Amino acid sequence: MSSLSHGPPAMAAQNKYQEDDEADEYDTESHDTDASYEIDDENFIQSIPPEILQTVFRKLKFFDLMHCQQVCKHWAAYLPGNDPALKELLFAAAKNVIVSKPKRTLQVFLRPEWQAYTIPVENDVPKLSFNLAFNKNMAYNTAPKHAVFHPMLISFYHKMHLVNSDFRIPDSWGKLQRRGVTPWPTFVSLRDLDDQVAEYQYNDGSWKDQLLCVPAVDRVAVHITWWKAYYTDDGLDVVRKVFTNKVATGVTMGEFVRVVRKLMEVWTVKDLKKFSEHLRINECDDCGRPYNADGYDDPQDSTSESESDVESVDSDGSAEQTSKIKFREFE
Amino acid sequence: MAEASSDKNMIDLTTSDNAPIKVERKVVERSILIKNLLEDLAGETTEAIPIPNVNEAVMKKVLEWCDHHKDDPPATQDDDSDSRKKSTDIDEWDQKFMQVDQEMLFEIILAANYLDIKALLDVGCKTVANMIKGKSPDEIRKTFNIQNDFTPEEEEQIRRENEWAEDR
Repeated sequence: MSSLSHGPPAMAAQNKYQEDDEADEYDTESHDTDASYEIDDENFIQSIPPEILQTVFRKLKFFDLMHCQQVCKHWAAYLPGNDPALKELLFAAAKNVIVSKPKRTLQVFLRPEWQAYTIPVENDVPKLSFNLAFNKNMAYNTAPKHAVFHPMLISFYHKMHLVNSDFRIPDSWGKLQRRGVTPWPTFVSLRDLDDQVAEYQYNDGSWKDQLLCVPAVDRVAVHITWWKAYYTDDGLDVVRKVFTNKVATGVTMGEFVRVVRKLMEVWTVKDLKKFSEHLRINECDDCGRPYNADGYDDPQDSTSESESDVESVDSDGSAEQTSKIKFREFE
Repeated sequence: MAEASSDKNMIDLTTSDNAPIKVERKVVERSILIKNLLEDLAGETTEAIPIPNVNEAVMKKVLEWCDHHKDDPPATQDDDSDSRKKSTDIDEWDQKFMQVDQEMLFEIILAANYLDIKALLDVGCKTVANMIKGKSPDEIRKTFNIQNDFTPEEEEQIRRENEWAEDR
């Protein structure tokens, strides 16, 4: 119960302003017990019209709005409701609406960083730590003006376990963060592709229906660049690129993650294997033990069938040459 | 104050509970509703203007705000987009002004909406937004005394769907 002080005119004012649809909602939904009526009386925020409630919501940011959606059915109904500004703030995909023209493909660049290390407590099996950082600056160059990217994409390296269930967030996550270290999700094992596809459910995440960016784009090209400086002695950058499907109502995080996942399954498994031979970081930072490149599971190359969907391209015309050199080097 | 002398600058209002209020024209013109009304009347104001949706206590509070802000520059066109960027910053005087119980807070918001005082409505909404910020759904419910009308099953579903957003 509220500890606020209440004046007598509250009820009159409430009834006066109660919108018809709101009243209906309460008639059907929250009158199962008479005892609850008392609370409604003191429930001042529910007495303001939905438009004003939405004005309040418009002052909030994404994560607070996500919490508001979970408060009650009434609030959920107006988040976003028909409010275009709230739709943007919540990355809600427009239904049956074609996204803004001119249509262009947004280029999104992911920057992998990885290191190998051993965790003594886990049977000395070498683990691969992998970080796909979203490169905002590069994406902004090709993004629609004033584009705002989904929060999950901004902290993409935090969310790798949602992209691929083989990623595990270390238990020490919180501790490391407090020490100012950014822990990376760990690639626990590289299992057979078929297994992964069968198991691939995305969880139930509400993020998958949310837009990759607002204003929405109808197609996204995802690049993963393996920088030569990190992984090879004299090799060249390798760019892996894959397109999302064309989505007239705007590419969602779900579609984006689908292709990133595909890209990782098809290419990364191979890349990691190849690059591991050239890996410079071959000692564990913590314990100084040597890392053995053959120490993790072989992906069995069952990945090759799906490769046709994935292109290996560079940003300029030299793409073909680049990738040829690359493959010669690694094969 | 002389009854009929400075009438051009003083406006009479009657609140919903029939209380008479005399107020400087410049102050009350922060309300676009009343400003337009006065312009329509073109100086032929002989009777008090009835404000049927706002009681005396709330009207006095609203006019206190109007008085403090009577010299503010008029709101610009792109006020909405501006205020969204600045999100929930509230100036110090307004913050103090808004330190009232929830009943009064929402009465002020409703009055500002009815009287069409955009800046006051904005401050009110920001104040409410600040009460929501950083709180969990349950803390929000407690703050505003809102009943959770989701079934346990629905709640579990919602929790699962939004788990990803909790560890930012």
